[in-house]
Parts: sequence; C-alpha cells; structure tokens
Amino acid sequence: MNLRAFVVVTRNSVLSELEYRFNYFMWLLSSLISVAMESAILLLAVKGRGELGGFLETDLWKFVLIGITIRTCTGQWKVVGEGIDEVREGGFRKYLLQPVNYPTYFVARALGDKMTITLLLLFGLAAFKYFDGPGPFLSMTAAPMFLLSFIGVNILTWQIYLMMIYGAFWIDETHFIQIAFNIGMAVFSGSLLPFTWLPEGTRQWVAFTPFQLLGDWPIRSALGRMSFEEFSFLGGQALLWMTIFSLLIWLMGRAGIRRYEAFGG
Amino acid sequence: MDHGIVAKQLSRSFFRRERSGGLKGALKSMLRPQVKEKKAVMDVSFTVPYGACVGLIGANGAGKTTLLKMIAGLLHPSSGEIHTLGYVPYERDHKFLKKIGMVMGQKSQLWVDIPAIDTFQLLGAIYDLDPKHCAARVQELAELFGLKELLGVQVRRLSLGERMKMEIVASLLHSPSLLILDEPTIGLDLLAKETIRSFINTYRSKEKSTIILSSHDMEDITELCDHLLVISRGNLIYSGSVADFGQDQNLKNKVLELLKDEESTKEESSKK
Repeated sequence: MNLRAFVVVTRNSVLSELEYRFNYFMWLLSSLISVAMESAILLLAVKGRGELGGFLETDLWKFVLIGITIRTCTGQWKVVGEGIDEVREGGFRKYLLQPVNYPTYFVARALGDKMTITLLLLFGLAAFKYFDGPGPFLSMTAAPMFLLSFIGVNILTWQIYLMMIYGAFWIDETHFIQIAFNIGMAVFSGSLLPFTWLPEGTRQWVAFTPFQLLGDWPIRSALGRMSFEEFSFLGGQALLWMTIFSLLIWLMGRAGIRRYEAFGG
Repeated sequence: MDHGIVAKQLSRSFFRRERSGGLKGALKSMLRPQVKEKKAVMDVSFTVPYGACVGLIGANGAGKTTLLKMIAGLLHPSSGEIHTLGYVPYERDHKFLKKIGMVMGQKSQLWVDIPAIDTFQLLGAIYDLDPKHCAARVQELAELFGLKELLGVQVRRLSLGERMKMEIVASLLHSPSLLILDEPTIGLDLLAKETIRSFINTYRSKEKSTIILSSHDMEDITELCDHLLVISRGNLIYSGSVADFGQDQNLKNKVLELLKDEESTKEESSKK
C-alpha cells in the first residue's frame, strides 16, 4: 500500500469521526469526567495523609491525567470491533480484493480514528505543563522519553488489536479477547492505578507480559519517575514484543486468510 | 494462455456448526458441537475466453457466489486448479488485484459514513491512479449513471439503486480487465436494472473487458451475456453459448426444471 493511500485512509477515518460530532463531543466529555472521577477518588484517599504509595497529591493529578491520555489514545475498540465484525460477517473481503496490505490499512484507520483526540490530549498535556511550571513532570528529559514510549505503546496496542481481528478467523466469540485485554489493561498496566502499587509478586509475573509497557512505561516516563536505564530496558523489551507480534501477525494473517470463508453472499 | 479463466475440477467445502433451535439446542451445542461439511462447489471445470461476457445462473445456495469468490481469489479452493488472467487468484498478487474489479450486491466496499467521492479518491490512491485522471474518470462514470448530484451525499443516505451504481463505479475506476458482478441488480426496480444493463453493455464494448455476471434474473443474462454457466447443487450442469441455450428448448426446460426443483427442495427443508 502506497503512502498516498495510507494518507487518504487516515483522512477518511478522521472524516468518518467528524460525521458524528455529538457522539464525539459526548465521548470527550465522558473522558474528562473520568479524569475528574478518578482524581477525586485518589485525592480523597490521599487527603490528610500527605502522600499515598509514594505519590503526593499533585503527583496523583498528573498520574490520572497521563493515565487517561494513554488509555484514550491507545483504545481502538471501534476500529477493532468493526474489524472483527468484518471477518465474522464477510465484509473483510474488500481488503482481499484490493491491492492493499491489511495491517497497514488498519494502522491508517486506527491513526485517523484517534487523530483529533490524540492531538487534543497532547495539547492539553503541554498546556498543563506550561501552567505547572518547572519540575520532573514532562521535563526536558522526561518529555522525549514520554513521546518515544507513547509511539511504542501505540505500535504495541495496534499489533495486539490486529491479532484480535485475525483471531476472528478461528474463534467465533472473539469479543471475549477484547474484554480480557481490557481487564488486563485496567489491572496490570499501571494506567488506572500506579504500577508500583501492585504487590511485588504480581509485578514480577506481569514483567513476563507486555502489560507494563502499555501503561507504566510511558506514564512513569512522563512523570519523570523512570531512570534512563530502566527506560532503555523497557524499550528493549518493547522492541522484542514488537518483533514477536509482527511474526505472529504475519503467521495469523497468512493462515487466517487461507481459511477465510467470506460469509454472506 | 488464450483463456481469461481456466478452472479444472475445482471444489470447495465449508464446515458449519449446526444446532437445533432454542435454549436446549444451545446448551447441547456448547457441550457437544456438531460440525457438518457442506460441499458448495464440486469438480467444476470450465474456461472463459478473454473479452467474453459470461452469465452464471443457479438457485440460491447452488454455489454461484463461492465459484465467483474462487475466481476473484477471495477463497482458496479445497481441491482443483484455478487460473484467472494467468494468475493463481488466491495468491493475491497485487498486479492481479489491479486487473480485477468485483461488485457484490450484498456487500459494500464504500465507506458508509462519508460521501462516495471520498471512497473514490481512496480507491484512486490504492490503485495508484493519477489524481487528475481519477477525478475525470469519476466524473465520466458518474455522468453515465446519472450520479453527479449524489457524489457528495453520505453513502448510508443513498437508496439501494443509487448505492449499487456507486459500487459499480468504485469497481470500474481502475478499468479492470475482469469485472465480476454478483447479483448487481438484486432488489432493484425495472428502471434501475435497465440503467445497469445498458451501462454494462456500453462498458463492455468500450473497454473490451471480460465480464462474469451472476444473476437470478434471466433477462440480465440474455441481454448481456454470450456465454452461460448453469450451476446446480455445486455441479456445473451447462456450459455453452447463451444462443444455443435459448434455441434448444428441451435443454432450457430441463435446466429450468432442475433449478425450480432445487429451489422448492430448499424451501421445504427450511420449513421443516
């Protein structure tokens, strides 16, 4: 798939989103309400104690903000749901009839679908930093680390979602994988509650999965709570997972398309 | 190769999970799922010359769409060989995909939430068409179909006939050498059917493309096609010219009787 096609898929994806302005507005509002609710709960817990699990009141605010940004920008439930339904109901055929590479098409779709909200949230973070003033949060060293890990976490989640879509070639009820992944993200990624709050044993076990990379890695990078050594180590892990996932996507795509039945007329 | 399409003993089976209706059936199926094999196409062999217009008829579920999907490379055959435009279609070589176009009456390739013009621009990019050439082609095709006013309307707001014409335009933007039309006139009124038929005729004489058309409407076949394939329960029961088929009243009656029987058997079994 050429660059021009990639750009037009992304553009069409943005245009589709803009057709539903009210849905979009309400969704944005619900994201902001989530920030407020999550902050209120955590701030209530920290009240009178000064700090909670190594986080001061002001740190918790920033944690919630960056956690919501990561979860919102990487959540691709609409595009994944559509992809799964296309495989289940036969609409996937259009990608097989056109000279396109489905994973590239998917990335362009996903990118477009979250383009405006991502820009808005990143702009919001920059504004927050401006008013927050100097400090470790998104500092001159933390900001580039955050941006790199943010790109990494997006690539990893796109790969995971693609595998979910390809899973529909085999499993009828593939939506359960979506839900399982969502639970995993909420509990183990460190984007809803700080990763360091998980029990030591659980953290050791989670280290063998990509969950820490999907939340804790960019969040602690942004908060300025990650050393360059740890950042690089997790970056290396991310590259390893990307390689494994790329191989799996290639194998699943090849085998899945071979057994594809293109149901429904 | 002299032929656009060569199929040799082509077969395709599907495996389907079946269960009886209701809660009891659902619970039983969870514990002991029943999988049945359905042979959709069986040992079908035929050839289609370059530039021909071939009609494909058969009752519902006879295997027409499965056959078309194998020709387009959407499905891998269970056994047998297929070559389309000199390529093995299911290998999905991009050079091959740039030479074919397919319209499926039941499925859309357009983005439903945005106007068709946006999808056409995307297809122009996918098929690597020059933007100016693509825009001119869209205008030309839209003019032929009387769609100019509708290019900026969201696809989901179009009528069935208008959407089908847009689907055909989308499949023709890159001037395919092989056009596969699966029931393109399904559910359309007489006027819309006539517009599509006359367009296909014009397109064929202008572009010299090979066309395969499946339809339940015999008029589609007699007006457009010079070759005919009749498929019944996955078997090819007639392959020859439309003229021969029309002249041989015995053959025509026999085939039509067979298709009628098949349709009524299916209706009875679905009632049971």
